[in-house]
Amino acid sequence: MVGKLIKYDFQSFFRLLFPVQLIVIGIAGLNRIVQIFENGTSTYKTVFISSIVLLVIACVVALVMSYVIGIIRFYQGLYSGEGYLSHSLPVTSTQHIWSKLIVSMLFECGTLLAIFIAANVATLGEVGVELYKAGGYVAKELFAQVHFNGVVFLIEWLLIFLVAMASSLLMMYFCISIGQLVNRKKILLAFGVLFGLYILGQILATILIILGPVFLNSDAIRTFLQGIFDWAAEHRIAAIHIASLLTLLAQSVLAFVYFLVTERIMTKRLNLS
Amino acid sequence: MKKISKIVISLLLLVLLSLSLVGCKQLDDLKNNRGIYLDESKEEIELRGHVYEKVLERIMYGNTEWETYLIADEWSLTVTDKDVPVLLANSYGDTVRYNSRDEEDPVILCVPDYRENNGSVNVFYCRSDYLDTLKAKLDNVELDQFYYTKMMISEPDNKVVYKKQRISEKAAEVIRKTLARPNDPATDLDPQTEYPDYASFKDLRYTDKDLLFTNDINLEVGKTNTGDYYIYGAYSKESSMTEELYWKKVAPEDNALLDELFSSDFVETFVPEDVIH
Repeated sequence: MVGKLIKYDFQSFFRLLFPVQLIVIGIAGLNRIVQIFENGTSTYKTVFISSIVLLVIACVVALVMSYVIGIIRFYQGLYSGEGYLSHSLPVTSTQHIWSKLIVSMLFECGTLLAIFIAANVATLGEVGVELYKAGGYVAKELFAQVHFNGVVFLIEWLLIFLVAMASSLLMMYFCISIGQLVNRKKILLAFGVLFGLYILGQILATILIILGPVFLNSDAIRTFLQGIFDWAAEHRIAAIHIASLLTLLAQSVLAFVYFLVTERIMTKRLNLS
Repeated sequence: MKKISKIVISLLLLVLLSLSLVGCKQLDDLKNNRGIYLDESKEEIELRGHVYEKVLERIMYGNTEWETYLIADEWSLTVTDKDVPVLLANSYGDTVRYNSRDEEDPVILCVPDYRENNGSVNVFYCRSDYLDTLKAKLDNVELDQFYYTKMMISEPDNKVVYKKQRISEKAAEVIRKTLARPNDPATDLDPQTEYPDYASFKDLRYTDKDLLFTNDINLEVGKTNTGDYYIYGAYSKESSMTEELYWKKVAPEDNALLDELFSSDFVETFVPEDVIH
């Protein structure tokens, strides 16, 4: 059943986002064609720069659209009229959330892939070859410094990226789920929750900034922190691993909390009125 | 960590550079301005189809004529190892300063060699077809001329360039004569305790008639408020390993010959067509 859910969502996303991704690649192709007429005239420079700007805007729009459509599909599919059908299926709330999450993330990655393909199209030829050479050289230098840790770093950062993407989407699901608790102005409340989360983050950061010097007045804390910095300076690779894992853990915890609350609300407090 | 930071920054710059590339022409320019060390010993460089061979460092100490009409923003050469991609030449290569004569390709390259403990040393490379000429000049070099650096402004775009200006033979003769005569306590000043009240001064360097070579001796010509000229430098005393500093007074009858050094036309303008490449 979950498979069918995913398939249905996939088709829905595909209809909306695939044309956008094709447009991005098409604009990249246009940019490459413009380069065929390269000369030193100001007309060419204007046209070329315009095509570059257009490509960048298209990439940004595609990314934003992927994200926004993911959120809209979640709301429409589970908390609007369509929700009556969705929640009548023999599928748990957890499976619903996973289905939406997986498909959203798939298409966000798909948009990133489209942008990557577009970049290749735009630099097709000698420029593209030189870019790959340069990228390969930098990667080689990096791996020469960190050896097998490079592979581990890649895996860690890929996981961080995926978990952060999931966490971001789940945060939106969380806001929408809280918003649907009321009968009126659900979207407004959802935005309010999102704004509240942002403010909460700012407050926590401010508290940290204010209390930081207070804590640092303590010799014990200062010594402890200095010890950590000294250790990190001596064991840089390990320190980066630890920082990456801590980041991954933090993102995972946030994602879990958002998921849990969303699932609970969907199971216990569903309000489709 | 520094290397990793450098690598990450190179990667980010690469991404930005990829957006700014106009197209193949810009890539061709990058390739044209990139030289390659032919081997690990860095004895030879290949640039624009020419091979440049290393010449002894100390022979060509200091500036060469590359500073003539050099517009730094436009001329940017780098030399890298063979395996460094052209897009990373600025990050992983050595920036080269080079001279400009009446030819499209530079004759002499100056590559700073950043040595760990001793700072940087300039390493000179000469185009292989000019090497014999350069060696012949080196065999016969006479550093009996003097030059100072003159700032010039490129008119259309107001870029600042620096030109080596050789002083006239008459002025050079006055300086040579003053330096050659023994120290006269009656007229000369002791730099340990005295300092001429000069209104302006000019730094001079030794050079040859081609403005090609120089040495590491710095001279200073100072003009006092009373119109006297002094030459500041160092000389070795007889039977002494140390150098003595001095302020030698120029003979009053020769003062007028040094006026060219303090001409009011210190800053000249020129148009790019006059630049010698």
